[in-house]
Amino acid sequence: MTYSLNPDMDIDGLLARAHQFDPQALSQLHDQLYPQVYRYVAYRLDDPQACEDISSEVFLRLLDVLKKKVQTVQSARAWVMGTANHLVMDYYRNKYRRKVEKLENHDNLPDYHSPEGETESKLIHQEVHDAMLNLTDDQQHVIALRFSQELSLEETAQMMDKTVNAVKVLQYRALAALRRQLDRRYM
Amino acid sequence: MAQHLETYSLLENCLARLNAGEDLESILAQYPQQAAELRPLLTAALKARQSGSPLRIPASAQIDSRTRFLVEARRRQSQPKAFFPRLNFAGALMTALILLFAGIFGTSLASAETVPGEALYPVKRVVEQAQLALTTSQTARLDLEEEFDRRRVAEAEELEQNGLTESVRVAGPLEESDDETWSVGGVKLKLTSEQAVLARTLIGSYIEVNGQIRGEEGIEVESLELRLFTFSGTLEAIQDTEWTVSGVKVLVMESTQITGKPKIGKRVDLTTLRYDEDYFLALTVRVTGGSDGDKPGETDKGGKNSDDPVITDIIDDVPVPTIELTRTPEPEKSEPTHEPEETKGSNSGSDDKGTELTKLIETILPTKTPD
Repeated sequence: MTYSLNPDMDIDGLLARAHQFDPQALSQLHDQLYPQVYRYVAYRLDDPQACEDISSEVFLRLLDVLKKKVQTVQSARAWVMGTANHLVMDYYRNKYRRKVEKLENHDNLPDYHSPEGETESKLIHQEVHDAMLNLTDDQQHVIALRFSQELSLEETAQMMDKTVNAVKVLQYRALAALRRQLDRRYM
Repeated sequence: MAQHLETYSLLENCLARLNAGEDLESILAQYPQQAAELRPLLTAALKARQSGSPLRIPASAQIDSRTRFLVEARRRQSQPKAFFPRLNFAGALMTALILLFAGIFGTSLASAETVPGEALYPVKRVVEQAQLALTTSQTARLDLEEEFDRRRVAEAEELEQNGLTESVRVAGPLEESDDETWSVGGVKLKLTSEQAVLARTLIGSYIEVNGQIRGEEGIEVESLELRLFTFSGTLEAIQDTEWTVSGVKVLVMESTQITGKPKIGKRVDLTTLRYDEDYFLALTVRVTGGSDGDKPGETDKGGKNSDDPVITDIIDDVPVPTIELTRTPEPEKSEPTHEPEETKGSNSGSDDKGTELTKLIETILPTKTPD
């Protein structure tokens, strides 16, 4: 799995120390979760600065609930991904939005960088990103969870607080809707 | 309903197989009846996955976020605790220090988007140096360095788009496209024919360019040199020509100068070139000591060794050939017809260096191991 914890790490001990705000434990927890959060947010946004801001904000909010709600690294992960989703939705409801003109001038995507395929990657990202905006919140969330990184169905279900079957149905509809939106763009 | 659930499960099954690397057509071939329904969904899924695949997470973003996270945690923690005076003092000191850093990083947000020539630009560079200094992991430092190089490139691109003229220094892999335009990390270079000859021997290498950016024409190159990465670390593994030093993979060639006896667990100083994405080619390796039972006195000869990992970009005291292509002192749009004789004369010094380097490169690059 792309994000599996270092097996040497004492997972429960990490959370216990994080509850005490032990800087080392917090630092480890942050670095364990950050890549996944960033990938998720970058998948849904086309503004790298907002992507950094939102990813960072997710972790500041984690401090509020750490002691009360988060008992395992897995639940911390589920919590940050759920919060990332909310913040992204807030962003699109214009709470975070700024510098709109600049975006259009600059073709300012996150660093989807591969020397040869850079332009193509950016185009695909742009295309999928634009198509996604017409999907429902849950549909966007499920697609970003499953395709911004390779989360399994079970993990996705846990993060969305839904049953596995419900996620199967949701992702079916989400992909069908995405297909329709992509087709519409080609016409 | 049961019928539907079956379809949903079938889709999930196909997605898992796509994920495992199976070919779309071979999957569909097994479900001829549902193929028409599945195909559009699976092609959408492929596209959705492509959209997320080659993302690079900026090291600086992660470090900024972690710093904010820790500062905020410290702030919250220090509020309720006010009992022990000493502890409180220590806490206050800590908070002051952290606020200082927060100040630095806070300003970094304001300066983050500045380009050379703007008032806050020097702040940005200082902040970057601070970030480098605060990062002890060898791989993280290299990532961070690379991230900063990409920022230089992004700045140059912005200057390029805005048609400004400014001195710049950018670093990145040297590339040549089909129509013989040269670029470093995507920024166009204006090379003289003489510079182009030498540049051709360096394609793919990580280089550093100094020059004047002239709007859309790109960078008028004043000097172009191979970026040397020097660092020290613990030798963790030796596998044929591939060594791992504090998590960084380094290729060691026949032509690499090795001083001392390399052993796993020993500390080594390296001077490397960068080639392609992930290769560090060692030019020199110096074994400076070990973790167990080594005399501490023998570690330092160059005067710059220490226990902490050190990376510096620019090295003056290491006897490794570098290339410097000094551009002819003519303004832009020179007439190529009559080149003054003395220009060639003044360049002869760097030519020697150049041929020396070319030889070196020729001995190193062809032996690059294919994966």
